[in-house]
Amino acid sequence: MISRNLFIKLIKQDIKKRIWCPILIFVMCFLALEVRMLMELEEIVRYPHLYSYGIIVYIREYFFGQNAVNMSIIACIAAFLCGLSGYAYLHSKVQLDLYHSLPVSRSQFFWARYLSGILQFSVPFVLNVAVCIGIAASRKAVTAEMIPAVLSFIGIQTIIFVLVYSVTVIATGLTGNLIVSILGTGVLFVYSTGLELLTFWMSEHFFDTYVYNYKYEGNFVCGSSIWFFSPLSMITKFFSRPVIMTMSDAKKLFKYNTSYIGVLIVAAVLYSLAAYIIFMKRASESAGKPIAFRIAEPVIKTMVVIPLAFFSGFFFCMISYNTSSEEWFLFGVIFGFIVICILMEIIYRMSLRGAMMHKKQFLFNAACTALIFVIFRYDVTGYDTYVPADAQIQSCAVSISELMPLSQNIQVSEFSTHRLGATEYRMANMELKGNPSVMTLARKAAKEQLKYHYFDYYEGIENSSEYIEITERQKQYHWIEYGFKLSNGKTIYRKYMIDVADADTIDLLSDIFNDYDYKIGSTPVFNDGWNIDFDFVRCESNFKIADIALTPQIQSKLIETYQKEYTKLTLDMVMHTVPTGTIDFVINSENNEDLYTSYSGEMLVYPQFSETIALIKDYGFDMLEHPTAEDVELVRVRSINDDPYAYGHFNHSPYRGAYSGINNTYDIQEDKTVEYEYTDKEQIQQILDSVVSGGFSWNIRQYADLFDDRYIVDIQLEKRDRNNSSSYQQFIKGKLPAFIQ
Amino acid sequence: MITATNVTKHFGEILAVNDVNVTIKSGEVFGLIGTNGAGKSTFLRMAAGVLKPDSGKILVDEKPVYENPSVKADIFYISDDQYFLPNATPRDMASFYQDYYASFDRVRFDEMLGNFQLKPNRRINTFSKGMKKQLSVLLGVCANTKYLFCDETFDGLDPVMRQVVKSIFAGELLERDFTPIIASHNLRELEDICDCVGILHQGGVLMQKDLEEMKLNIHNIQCVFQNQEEEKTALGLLDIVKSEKRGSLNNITVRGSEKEIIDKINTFSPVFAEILPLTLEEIFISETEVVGYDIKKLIY
Repeated sequence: MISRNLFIKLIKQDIKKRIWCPILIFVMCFLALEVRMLMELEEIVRYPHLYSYGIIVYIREYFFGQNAVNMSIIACIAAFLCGLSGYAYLHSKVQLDLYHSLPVSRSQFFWARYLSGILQFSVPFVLNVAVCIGIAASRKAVTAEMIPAVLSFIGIQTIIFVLVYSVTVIATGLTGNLIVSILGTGVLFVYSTGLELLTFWMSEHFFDTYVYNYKYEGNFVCGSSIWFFSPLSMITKFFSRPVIMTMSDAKKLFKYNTSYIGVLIVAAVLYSLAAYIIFMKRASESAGKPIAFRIAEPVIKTMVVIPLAFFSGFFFCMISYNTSSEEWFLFGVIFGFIVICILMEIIYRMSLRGAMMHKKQFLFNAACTALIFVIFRYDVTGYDTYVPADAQIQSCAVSISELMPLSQNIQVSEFSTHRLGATEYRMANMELKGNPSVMTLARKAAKEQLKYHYFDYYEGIENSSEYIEITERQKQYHWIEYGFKLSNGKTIYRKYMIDVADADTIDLLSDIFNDYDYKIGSTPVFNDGWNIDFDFVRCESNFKIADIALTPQIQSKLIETYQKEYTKLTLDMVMHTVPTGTIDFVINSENNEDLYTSYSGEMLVYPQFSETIALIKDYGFDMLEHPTAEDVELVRVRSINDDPYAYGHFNHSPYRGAYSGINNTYDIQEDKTVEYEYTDKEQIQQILDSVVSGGFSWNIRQYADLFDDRYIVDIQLEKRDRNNSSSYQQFIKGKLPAFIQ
Repeated sequence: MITATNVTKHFGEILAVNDVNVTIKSGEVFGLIGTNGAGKSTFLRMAAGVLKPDSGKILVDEKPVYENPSVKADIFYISDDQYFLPNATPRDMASFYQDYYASFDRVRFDEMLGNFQLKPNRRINTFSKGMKKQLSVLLGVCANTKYLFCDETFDGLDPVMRQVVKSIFAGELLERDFTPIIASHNLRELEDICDCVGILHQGGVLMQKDLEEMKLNIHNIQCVFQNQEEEKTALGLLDIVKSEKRGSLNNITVRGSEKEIIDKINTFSPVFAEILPLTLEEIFISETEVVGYDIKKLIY
């Protein structure tokens, strides 16, 4: 009769048989936990001024919190090792004959091995965590508050382990050969991530209006909600931080996506059950065969071949000189499809002779691949032309590119850099309602479907009338992004290219830009919900920069005044008025004086902003103050290369030079930059009267054609600290002194 | 008792076992004979609960064996290429089986290891093929299961060891309820140990016979009659399986009891008549030829 303790004996036997597995896991955990902790503690003790938080918070929130992702990598590797080593016997006839002839039910045998694998990870892992706590205690860094953090750290790593472990067991059960099982584990581990990446690439490649959603910080994997069935997708989402919309949230220490833990647990349980069912259904005679379930062969083949064929298409696009080449994409898809079909058949049959088997399946997969290609290539679903009906719209968010950009990355603390793109902020915060121009412009853009025309370079193209005409016209093409917030709670994102030379378009765009809600929703500085306490405001005028320390009262007054005047700013003013200066609200890092962060970006001040200019003057900075010629020692004027088309006008030419089609090389043209120095006071005065700070142009240059790009002016003041003066200037168009021309 | 009824097993498109019907009585030594690929191992793996039949059923003591640990507790299966745990010693393997087979006799195992001159702490992966087979048999015998399935187990044993194993089996048969089932492609190896033999060919059982019954019921006789007329009449009375004649000497294989055959022949006062012993091989040659097979092609 079977011993009562057989289950425990089975576990013991299994651990004893592959004792190398827990030992290896112990070593990996030791390196990832104790060694890393000691290294980091040493750093904190040595440079305490670089860390805002105490050592207790650091260990709790960083080591057992944010950086848990490092341990998750170890957990995944351990799961892979335990799963493969525990169930690889299914691939060996002799081992199967032994284990399956023993008087133990398969069910009991499966769960004993399954639990044994979990113990082989969790025991060394928990032991190492315990040692880590001991190390922390020796630094007096353990408090009662740390216990939940440590327990959740252990729990989360164990869940991640079980998730990946169960997927490995599934792959091992589905296959009958170790190599195929390793490949299968890899495929199952990344499959949904791969599909998401492919969907992202396909959409970006074929749809002109596609933008990935803005819910997660630069993370395409979490762009969609339907593909999270592979462990990699789930783990990535778990550790991804949703876009944070308030400064206080941004400053909060990293927390796991706690609402997602439940999904991980459910997935781990479901995958474990799936592994069990596969194990029970698996025939012993499958050992040695590549795929254990013959019925699964065509399904697996279709699921692998089609995505890989498209990946192959993108690969050939990437290695070709023209990354958007449709010919190379198609070649890659066809080539990849055929090669992968043949490879799959060879793997299935373990023989070259089987390479051309299953022609019907080949044709079916080819038809599916072709269908998907046609759907994307010819936009069968009408993705690019789709604009929701007015009745469906609850509100809209719009982001006009190159108008009032924000700083992209904000250093919140040593724990993280917070990325806040202008579009991400606006998509989440802007709610335009009752402005018919918003939807009219979207429909117009969707109908026109403007896109950049890229030229294949040939000698003398820059002199061709077609090239000149098109490149000139395309200078007026700009991006505008939309977030259609629908009544059903969904948000549809699109980007459109618009031609601002089109009078109707510019009228519609003006209506949007002039909308009070657009202005208010454009920047967090105007968002009461952010409650940002800035340290100072950096003011820049044409010739100088200065920081004004802020009190809450000054900040409030200044923002209020600026907001009042900014909301009255029209697009027409932006396009035709030279700015007077910029202001930038800045937070100074507590631990690093050189570290400045800003959520405002450089906000332009126009001559019409008289109250703002006056207020800033009251605070000690006169934006309208100009140096006279007497203050200037020297002016240098550099002329940029005369060829206006030599820079960045070819899709493939980021260099200033000529592209040689014969040997595919760029010949850098002779540098035609000429520098002139002016010391004559009269000439200097003329220059001073006709230049503007180069820094102003960047925020609006796509819309305001006010700056002469051909020259860079460097003004060297006599009496002032040169670092405190603006040295980079540009001439205002139409004001170029005659002696420079 | 093991009963296989209409058991069929496919491996993909290959039909490994085809509609096999076999009954193996408890307490007898059953020999399963057939060429490579005849389906012996597949049948044993099904009988041991490793494989599930596609159709038909295998009952061990009237209970299905597949996924039935209580039945499998009575079965010890020695495969043709027995697996031993990595780096295991004979003692490790004994401990391993002891966990599964409650009646595993550890004392006897240690004792028998000494008799077989196998070192208990030597790694099995350093053993020769024959030593591994010996160890497998020892583990199987000491597991004290009712059924012991041996797949090609005797092939790697030298003649002396084979005799030792046979004597162990004989001892077990005397002492307890023990039913060894031995699969082999070599008829001669099973001749002196099996009580009953089944021949598998191309997945199906050609025949299953009790050896003693077969030996008692078929005889080889050499005889010379006084004249051809008497010879013709006498042979006409016998159930002849096979007949050869060299000169006046008749060499015939006849069904029936020894006494019955001799009595019939003596009625005609033959010049010479003698019953010669038939080897198992000869019996099978005769029997299978009757059903239209050339046994030499089946088992050699």
